[in-house]
Amino acid sequence: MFWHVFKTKLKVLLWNKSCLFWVLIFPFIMAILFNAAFSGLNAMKESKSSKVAVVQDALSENSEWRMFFKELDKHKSFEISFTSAEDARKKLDDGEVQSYIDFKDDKAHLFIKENNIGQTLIKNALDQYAELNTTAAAIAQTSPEYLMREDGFSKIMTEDFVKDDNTEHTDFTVNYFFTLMAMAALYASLIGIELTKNNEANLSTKGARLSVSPTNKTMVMVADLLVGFVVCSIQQLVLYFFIRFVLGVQMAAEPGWTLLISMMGVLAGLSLGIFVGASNKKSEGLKNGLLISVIMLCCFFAGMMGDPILRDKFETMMPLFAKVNPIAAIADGYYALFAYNGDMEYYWQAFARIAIFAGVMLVLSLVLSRRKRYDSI
Amino acid sequence: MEKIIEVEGLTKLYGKFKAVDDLSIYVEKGRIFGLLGPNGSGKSTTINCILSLLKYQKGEIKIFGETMSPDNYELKRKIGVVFQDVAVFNELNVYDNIDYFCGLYIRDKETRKKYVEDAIKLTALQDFKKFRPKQLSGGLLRRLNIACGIAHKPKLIFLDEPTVAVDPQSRNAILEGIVKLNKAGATIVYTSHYMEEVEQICDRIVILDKGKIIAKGTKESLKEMTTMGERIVIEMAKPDKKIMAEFEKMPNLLEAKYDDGKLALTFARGKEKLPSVIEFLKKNELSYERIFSELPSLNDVFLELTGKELRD
Repeated sequence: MFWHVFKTKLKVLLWNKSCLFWVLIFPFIMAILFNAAFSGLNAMKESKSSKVAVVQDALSENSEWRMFFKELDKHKSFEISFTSAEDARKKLDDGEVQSYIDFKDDKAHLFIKENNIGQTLIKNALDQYAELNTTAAAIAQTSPEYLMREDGFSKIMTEDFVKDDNTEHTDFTVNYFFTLMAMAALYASLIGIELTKNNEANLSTKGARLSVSPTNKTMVMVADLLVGFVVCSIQQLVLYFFIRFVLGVQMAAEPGWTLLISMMGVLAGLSLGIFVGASNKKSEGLKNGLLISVIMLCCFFAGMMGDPILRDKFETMMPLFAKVNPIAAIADGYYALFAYNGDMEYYWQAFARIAIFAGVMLVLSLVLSRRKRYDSI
Repeated sequence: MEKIIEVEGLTKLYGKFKAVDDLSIYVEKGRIFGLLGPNGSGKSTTINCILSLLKYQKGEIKIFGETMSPDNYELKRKIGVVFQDVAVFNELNVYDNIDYFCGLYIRDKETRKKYVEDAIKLTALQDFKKFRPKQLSGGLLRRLNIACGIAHKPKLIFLDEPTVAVDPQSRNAILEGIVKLNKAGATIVYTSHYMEEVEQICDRIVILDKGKIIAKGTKESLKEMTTMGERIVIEMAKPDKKIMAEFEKMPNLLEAKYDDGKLALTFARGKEKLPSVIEFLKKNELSYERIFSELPSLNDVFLELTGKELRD
């Protein structure tokens, strides 16, 4: 009986074009679009280093600012040159440099012609350095010995002020692909809704027909879960290889661990769909729309749209939501495999978060699917 | 005779609205039992309560002598249901649909295969096995719906308005199929708001209105409940007032009504009136296109009991 239901529901699912589009095809389209957008951005970042002129008249030969700019010059994003104030202004007017920095009262002032990524980066670096200088002054008054220590403040002062994008494991754009894969896993909820519709007497006549048959509905639900699980897990595996090898995005090297958390995400999605599907009698279109909206909102808070820094801000503002956000949990798992090279603690934390989410949804779905009689159908 | 279904004092409320009001019925083995009533009279609700799909406030329901419950799988195995709305998978073809629903009852593959073929034959779907539901006409779709409900050869079959929106040819095929199932030994509960169908196939009939039984019995005994004996319909030009007054003087006449090119004369029970009406027409030199006599229908019974037509 189980395999009879499984085989039929698999066939039904594989012929359901609308469901297949959203669950199986749409994430691939998104991946291609993301790749097109980010490869352009990366190319722009790589090809254009920002030329910055520094007015050296006000700087002594061994000043900390001069050391700072020498360090900055090592970074691929900047080309630093030292010159006079007059020459710096002329170079900016002629477009030979994108910005120049002058000093008044030992404070750096940035002059630009137009605002762009390079100028934003140099502004951020200057601000950070100025802030550290202020902190150093404060420490000098309270704990001057700390400033003298080899591993103390002087080390911090010579650290990078611009995050190095050159190493493969800190490319911020991969986060978009992680959230995309997490979104695809959660889209399994649409399959959950579709399958539930066919099981509940108050949702469809097919459900009524099943309810009057001598069939255990929990068994049917498990068969449905397995159908969705198999189809969506295969999709996750193919999506991983597609993103990694066809689009060439650097992902975690271990597909096994990636797939494991993806599968847990799929289970969470399916259970969420079954729960939403069985919990009320609203139309299927409304439920699908609601779920897609919730998933996209979770994607937003997990950093899919906009600056990844936003995600950190949301985490600070809504720490509990950040913990239960299933998209964030799955994406964190991918990120742990990608960025922390074998440190599995963070991975298992993320795995536990999505497993708890899936477990709660599964229990709620089981409770609803075991309903005996209906108030109305 | 053995009672297959016994319902005692069934009451179903939707909020404050009484959909079924203290209903008691029984269905005997081997019969075709008809539940007749207009839309919203409580027919489907009654069936859904009997099938344990709906919660109900009061009443006792027994099928094959056992109390019906959602977990009584052995009892469910003996029951087949054809719902009012078509319940098939659009993604599966005709054969696979019947096979799937039959498979919920019959585990053995060989037996199932035979049963599916039998259901296809009974509903005359042999030429459409590989068709998907969307490729079928309304009538064929209804036949598929029936095949899915009866393929496992149940002993008791519920058919809830199985001919809604079906062309006359398909309707006849469906009704013939139902009679065949009954002759093969199945007890049938048939709901409809088409009185002709119920009259045609049902042995015993219950007429429902607003969740209550307003009449029950065989079609003959139900018709005995009317005061009307005969209705004579004459297709003719509208008679003038004098002639109408003469018609109204005819003995035993209950009502004379001219509508849509037809004069309908309703007589109370008694002697056959057709010869005297023809005589009257000849005597008054009234020409007519057609004249015929109608015996009381279930619609007349319903009209007399409720003051409204079944189709309202």
